[in-house]
Amino acid sequence: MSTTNTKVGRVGISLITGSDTEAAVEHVQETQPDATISFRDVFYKIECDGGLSFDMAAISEIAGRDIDTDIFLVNMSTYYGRIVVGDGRIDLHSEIKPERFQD
Amino acid sequence: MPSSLVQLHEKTKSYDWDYTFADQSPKYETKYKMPKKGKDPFRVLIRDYVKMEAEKDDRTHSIIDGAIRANEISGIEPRFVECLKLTLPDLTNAEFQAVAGCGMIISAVQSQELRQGYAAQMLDEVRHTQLEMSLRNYYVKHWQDPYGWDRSQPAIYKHPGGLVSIGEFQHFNTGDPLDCIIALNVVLETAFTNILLVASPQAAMMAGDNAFVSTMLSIQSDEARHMANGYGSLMQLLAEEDNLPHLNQSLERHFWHSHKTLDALVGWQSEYGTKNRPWSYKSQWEEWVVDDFVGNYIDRLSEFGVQAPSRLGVAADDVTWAHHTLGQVLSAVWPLNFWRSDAMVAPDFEWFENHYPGWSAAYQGYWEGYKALADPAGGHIMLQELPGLPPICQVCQLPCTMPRLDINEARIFELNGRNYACCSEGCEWILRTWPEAYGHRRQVWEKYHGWDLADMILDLGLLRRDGRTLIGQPLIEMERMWTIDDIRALGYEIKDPMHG
Repeated sequence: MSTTNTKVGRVGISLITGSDTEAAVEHVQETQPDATISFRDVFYKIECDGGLSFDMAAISEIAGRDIDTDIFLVNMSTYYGRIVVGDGRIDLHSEIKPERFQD
Repeated sequence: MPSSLVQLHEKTKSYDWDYTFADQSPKYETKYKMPKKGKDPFRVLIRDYVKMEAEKDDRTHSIIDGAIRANEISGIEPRFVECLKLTLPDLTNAEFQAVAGCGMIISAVQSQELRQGYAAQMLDEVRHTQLEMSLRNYYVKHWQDPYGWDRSQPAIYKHPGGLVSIGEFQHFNTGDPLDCIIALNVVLETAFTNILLVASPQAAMMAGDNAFVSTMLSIQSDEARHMANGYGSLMQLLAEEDNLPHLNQSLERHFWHSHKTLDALVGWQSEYGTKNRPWSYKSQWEEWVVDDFVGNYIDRLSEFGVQAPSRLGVAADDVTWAHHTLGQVLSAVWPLNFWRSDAMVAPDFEWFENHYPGWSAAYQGYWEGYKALADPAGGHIMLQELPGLPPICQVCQLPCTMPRLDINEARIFELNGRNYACCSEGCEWILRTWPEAYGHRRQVWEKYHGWDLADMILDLGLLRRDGRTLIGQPLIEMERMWTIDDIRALGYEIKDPMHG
């Protein structure tokens, strides 16, 4: 059995439906218009070829309150791709071995 | 103190030390070579972890409180909560098996970053157990029929459906500690929990159970970190070429076993535990397991020599039918259940045939017959219509009627002087490869061979407070419930199909 080739190189994240997530979704719509956003009632599944990035300062601005990486992760149910949590940002990489894992 | 997470995480690592007062060598031996260097993608620090988990708990408990205030439970689809009497305790079993598993893993992993990641995971698994017990407390206090919730913990160690989970989740803390990582973090938590804890809450929302929705999604937010622990460990193992054959064999073994058990149980809960289904289980499996897990993860590791499970195609075929067959068997043994079963009826028939063409020919006649026998006044149960009890698979503990009775792949064979039943080629391969791990289990029918069904029910403690009425019933709505006297009058004797 083979997998769906169109999805190779894609990453995805599932965020629990709520006000924090609505701000993150708006952020993706503004900054990564190629991303596919699928609303599944109790969560959003956001997928994009090549990678996804979430900037906490920008999401906080939209939400009108501080959302740091810890609070973002409270809302993140799952993901696929290679995740890296950094300073004020969360990135999902499609490469199997992103820079942090190179050495 | 640095304000940067990256800097602080790096600085924290400088505080590592070697033991001088105790033996630091792992308690459990491993066949793998584990390099000391490894990375935690989440850069977990206890300070941040505690803040995050406290926020998660506050949010989840607030929703359970709100559900109580609004009496939301009165609006939940009964099939959903009845099926949960089996599957939620099964899940709790997974959590506390994983607590012990993390202890083994921490002792075996030398990378400081990954040890920290697994330490957080161990606390997560305790948190999940507590959250699920809160949810079970909510059901036992507020659900219209609390019977079964009060028996579910001991019952899963004796009931065939519970033993499926016991068999599956023992892999979290049994054998080679690094194989435990493959079973727990790489296969189960990355491939299969997404359907259980992310997709299934959508079905729960349609069934009206918001407390379940929020609890499961919050639990899965921790699983996301566990997936990263698995990824970090996998990359570490792949740095040593000698690990590759062990890793591929472990992946093959645990993918097959997890597929057999999780797909049957979660598929049954999500389609037979409701009347309003948002999707077919098979469609979810193709998305979360085939595309997201295999396509975007395991296949991407092929450049390092990792092989996708060779039985993926067989598993995909199984997923079409296995949970329907489990539903058939669980309903046939309803007197032994600690929940109320329910008959599938006309609207269900239409949905199943639309989503699984061929379903009607295989299953509709069974369900019509099942419903006709539901009234205790008829003095007959479906078990009496069957030629015998199905053998239980020595490996996955599912009945050997899989994936569907008329195309079942059951096999009985001799190994080391004893006869065994397996449900599939994959399970036979596992038993023959690891006979010491699976060969000693005693199956449920063997224990009760020659017993009257009524005595087996009494031994399992499956009566309500009046001492006569069964907890298990064949329908959600009964004019008169079955009693132990009704069962005794059947004169049904348990016969182990493997006896003699």
